[in-house]
Amino acid sequence: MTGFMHEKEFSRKAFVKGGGALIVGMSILGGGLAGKAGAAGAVNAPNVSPDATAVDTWLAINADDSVSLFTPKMDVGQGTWTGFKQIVAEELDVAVSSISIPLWDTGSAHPFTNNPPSQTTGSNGTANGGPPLRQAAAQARQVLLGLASTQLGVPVASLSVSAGAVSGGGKTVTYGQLLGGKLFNAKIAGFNPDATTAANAVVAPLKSVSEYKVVGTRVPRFDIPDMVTGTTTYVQNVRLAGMLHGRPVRPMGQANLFATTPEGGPASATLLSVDESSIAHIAGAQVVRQGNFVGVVAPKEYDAIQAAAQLKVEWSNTDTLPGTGDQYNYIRSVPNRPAQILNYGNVDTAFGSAAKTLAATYEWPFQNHGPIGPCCAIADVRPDGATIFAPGQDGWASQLPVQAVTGLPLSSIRVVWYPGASTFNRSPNYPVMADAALMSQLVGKPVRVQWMRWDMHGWELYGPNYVADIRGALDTNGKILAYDFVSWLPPDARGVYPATNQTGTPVPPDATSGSSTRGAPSYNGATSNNAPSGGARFETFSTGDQYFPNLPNRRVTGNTVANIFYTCPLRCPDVIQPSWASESMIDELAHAANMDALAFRQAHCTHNGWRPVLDTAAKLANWQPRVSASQLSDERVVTGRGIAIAGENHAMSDIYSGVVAEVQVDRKTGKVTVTHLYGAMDSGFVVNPASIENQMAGMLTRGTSRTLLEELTFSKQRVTGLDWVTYPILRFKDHAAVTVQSIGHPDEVVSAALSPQTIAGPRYRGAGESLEAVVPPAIGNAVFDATGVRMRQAPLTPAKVREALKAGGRLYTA
Amino acid sequence: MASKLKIKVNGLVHSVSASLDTPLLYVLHNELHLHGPRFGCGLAQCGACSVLLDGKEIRSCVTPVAAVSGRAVTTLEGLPALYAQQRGTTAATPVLHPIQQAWIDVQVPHCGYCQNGMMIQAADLLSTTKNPTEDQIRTAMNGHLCRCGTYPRILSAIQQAASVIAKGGK
Repeated sequence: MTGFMHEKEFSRKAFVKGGGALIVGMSILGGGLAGKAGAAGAVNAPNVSPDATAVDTWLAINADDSVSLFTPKMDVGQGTWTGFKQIVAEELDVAVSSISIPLWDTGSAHPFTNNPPSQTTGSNGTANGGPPLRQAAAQARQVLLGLASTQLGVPVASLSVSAGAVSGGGKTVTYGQLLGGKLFNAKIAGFNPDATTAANAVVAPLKSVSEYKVVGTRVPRFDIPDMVTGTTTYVQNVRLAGMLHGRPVRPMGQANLFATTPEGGPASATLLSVDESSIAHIAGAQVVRQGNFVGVVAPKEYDAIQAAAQLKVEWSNTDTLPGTGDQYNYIRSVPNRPAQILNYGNVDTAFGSAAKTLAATYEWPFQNHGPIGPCCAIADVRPDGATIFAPGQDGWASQLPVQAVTGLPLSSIRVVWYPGASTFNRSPNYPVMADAALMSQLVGKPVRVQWMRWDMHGWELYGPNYVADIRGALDTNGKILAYDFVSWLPPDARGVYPATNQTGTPVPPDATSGSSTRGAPSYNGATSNNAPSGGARFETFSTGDQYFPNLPNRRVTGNTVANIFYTCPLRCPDVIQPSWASESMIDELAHAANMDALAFRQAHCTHNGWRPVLDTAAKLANWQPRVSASQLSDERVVTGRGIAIAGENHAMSDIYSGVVAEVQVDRKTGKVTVTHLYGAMDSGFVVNPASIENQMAGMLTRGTSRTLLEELTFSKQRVTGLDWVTYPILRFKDHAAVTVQSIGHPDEVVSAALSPQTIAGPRYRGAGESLEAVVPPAIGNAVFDATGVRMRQAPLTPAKVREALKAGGRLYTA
Repeated sequence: MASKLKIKVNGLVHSVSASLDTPLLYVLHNELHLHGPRFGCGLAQCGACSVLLDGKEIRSCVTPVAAVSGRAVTTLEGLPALYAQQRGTTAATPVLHPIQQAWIDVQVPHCGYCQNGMMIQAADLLSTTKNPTEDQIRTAMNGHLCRCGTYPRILSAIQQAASVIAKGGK
């Protein structure tokens, strides 16, 4: 009964919001998923990305005059879909409220496009998804105007459109009357994402920015009312008929995934014994095993939880981790592949002739994505195909973990998306999808898996740790003469999951990275031919050529090191770490030059992306120039302010951010309290300033948590930070006041297609993560200003700050 | 061993079948199909599962279902009716609780997953403390965790809701 109720709910929701596309319960890939007569939208083969150049792939006009928007990107709380509605409403001349986004389902008669890739990462949601959607809407409007001209007998030039109704010659016809439930059957002129040369075709004209009425305004997010009334269906709420609840059973905390046992298996997951009789008293509970994978399933969720907790399992234990305290020595000692990323001028000679030189080491820990709701997926794997209900930023890429464990072809794997809790990057969801798919395949029934808190903390894909040795040289004028940056960073381990590792399943190529061996055991020899995406990011984005346009001598060396844990990008991946290091070092150089921290940066930075965020953040905070730590107080609680800037570069989205932090430091306890954060972010043409400001407030708050508190702890055997007590995050009491300013560029318009991937029109650059990367150095610099003591290892916990104060002779002892 | 139980949730008495030690959360979620309270940690550390028990916030993930027998459980879905009852109104379709309306007006949520507990705790606070100071709000909310960084907006929204309630609601 329970399952049936939710089954009905799922079907109804899909039907009502699906723009007419019909989904019949859980029938997979069968006739029930084929196009339904009269349904709006394109009819496509399920689980194959439809033709991105067709208007029907993006939009449908329904008979009731509503518009279905088939989103190219996922929205996980950023407001991206509200922005997409604004973009379409603007070009199509319809009300925002008339647009709905159908259930995202690759198996429907109208699967959503994967071109551009639906995987929404690197702040690319609006940046990459907005322009083709905008052009599709402009083309759709042209088609509709043509139809109206014929029907009304009025030339297109004499027609006007308002709220989805076309008027001319004293007559009016609505979009629904013109095309409701039918296909556009039109191509988007000039849009050819697969072309190798820039398109020159005539494109449907866009509205000029000066005519905009909807884009650029503060349209409230349409998904928030459902969230506050408890009517949002998260993936955690999805129920299928006949479904079992599953839980993986693993050691409490992952061990060194990439160390191998003498037998050649992964050290963390070598199963020694399972005593199935230990859960015999739990009715309906069943053990599911393959290789080193162990899980349990049961019809009732609490029974599955109890079974997972009580099942007696023995695992091998080996001391193959360095332990939290020795992690930074370890990262320097393991096999690595060095790469010279930049080297110009003559760094060594410059250091010999410098007026002043500094050298410092900065360290950043492994951190947790830690969604408040542990990741969840429901899988129904059958011999001829699979369906996965999954949340997250991945879209089509959610097929990959299912393919990895089931071996099914991609075209037989259906993905249905529901929202989940924020993960701030892609991969923490993958392992859960793999667990659910594996267990469903083994028991032959749909299986819902929601990880327990210790599974989530202990077995997720962490943001990697990092070490940087930086040397800086100043000339006699207080300008930077030379900058020498060496860093160590593990690569992403995407493409491998606990379930694939434990079952010994070969990992298929990760379509998103073009590789199959990221962080995999073979990588430990540092002989893999797969350069990690982080390879270019060891330093250049935090103190890039843009920031330092005239730096005469510079060298950047990045060491890609062997991994010890599953890792994947975590908000501002490979930016927050070098930002912490480099913007702290810039502050040290400013102090050495006896200059104000803002003035020192201004003296070096003229770039039109970096400079405005620097100046805006300072202005927001009413920055008063002085040399940092030049007015130290002997009080127990002291105050200070710090500034920092950072940038993020992607193919389509370069984003710049600046932060000023105001802090209090208790010199007796070592506790740092961030009292106020001022953030400025430049993300190009702004679709919805309210959405961006909300993201900015979140990034400042979250950045504070990562700076002050967050560090994954582990023993020599395994991860020990398994919940919110052993891996604390920022609490309500300790959050700072925030002041934000989004720097918009209403004139930032690409006039012509510069490449096959760019589309003429406003250039949105993204806003989902950049600001977070600036918070750590801004806080560290403020602590220095307050105390005269420089923090070089994150997080800035009371114990670490106290230790640094003591070493610097600044501990309050009265 | 499953037992037959009656529990009162959002003003209605439901018959459910669950072992007595089953945490209330799983009954609300899997038997009554409520979407408000949700699993976050199972350890009473984060507050995503919070509900009101006789008007006070509790963690449904660690509260055995047997413990709520004879008492009134209110979930996020029941806040409008609870507020109507508190004001003595009998409108057929209750307006949103001022907390919920403020959450919309201030545009609080990002992913929204933790906001259930935030709103439940805030409703509890405002039922006993009409005009809370910022310190009182920070203290009352300190046991609820958010990963998206919505604390500053939650603070603003609670202040707005308190002001609405002080003016007699709407």
